[in-house]
Amino acid sequence: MTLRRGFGYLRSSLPSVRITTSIILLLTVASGTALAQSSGSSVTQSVTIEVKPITKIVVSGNPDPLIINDAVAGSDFTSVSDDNTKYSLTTNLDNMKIVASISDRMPSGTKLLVRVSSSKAESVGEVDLSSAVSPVDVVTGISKCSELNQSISYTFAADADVADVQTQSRVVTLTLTN
Amino acid sequence: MKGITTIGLTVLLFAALGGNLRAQQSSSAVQTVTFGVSRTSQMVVQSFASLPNEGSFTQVSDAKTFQRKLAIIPAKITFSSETPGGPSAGRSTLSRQALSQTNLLAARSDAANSGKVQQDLRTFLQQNGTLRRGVAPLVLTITD
Repeated sequence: MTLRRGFGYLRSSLPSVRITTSIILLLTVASGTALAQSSGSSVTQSVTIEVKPITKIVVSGNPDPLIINDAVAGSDFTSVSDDNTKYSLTTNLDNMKIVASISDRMPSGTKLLVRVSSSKAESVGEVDLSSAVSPVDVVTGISKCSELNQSISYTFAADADVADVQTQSRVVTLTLTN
Repeated sequence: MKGITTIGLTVLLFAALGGNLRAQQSSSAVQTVTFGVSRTSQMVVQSFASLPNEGSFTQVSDAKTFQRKLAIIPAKITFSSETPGGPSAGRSTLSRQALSQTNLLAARSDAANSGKVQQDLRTFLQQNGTLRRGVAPLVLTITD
């Protein structure tokens, strides 16, 4: 009888035990979280930055063959031109320029002229590359800038007394330099 | 003291080299340019002066022009005449037979020959041409 009464008490007090347990657990978790937050953890990284001097020039390809196969009567020399190729450049330096050189001298009585345009610097204009195995200026006064698709114009000219020149090639080097 | 001087000079040398390397900044791009000259010729004769009188020939106005062009293909000039009306019309100005297949010139492009071309043509026409009243085109042809 006494035992039955004791179990009955226990049965009736169970809900309050559950509530108490839940509160204790909640407090424990909350305090654990609070503790974790307040203790903290950090890491650091060093990020090193630098901008190097940059000079970059590219060309769009080779000009079309410059073949003289017609003449203007009475003219001392005949010429053909091509301005289909372009160049682009980027530099973060001041006082830069573009120089041009040719791999080998042009045949006697012929000339190879080049005009390199520039929207942000000064083009020298039409420059004779016929014997420019050492670089010659074609654009000067380039400051920090980028230029896109600027025109390169080549003119091949032959004196009237040049009879026949077999097709041949020269390599023209454009250098962006200071 | 000598050691310090050596170290100092070494430092200066490296500084100079470093500065030099840093100063030289360049980038290059290359293009291949192909070219050639084909055999070509073009001759333009602006106009001949009118030939008002039989037997007289006054001027080759553009001798220099075709003399220069001849230099591109050192060759010969062949003269012939065209007579639109035909001899029977009585307007023949130059003897076709005398003018055809005549190699007058193989000139080079220099100042002395410029005058020579003009004189040669004048002489040729005076010797071989039968100039009469009328107008007919004179055909000049550059050939190999």
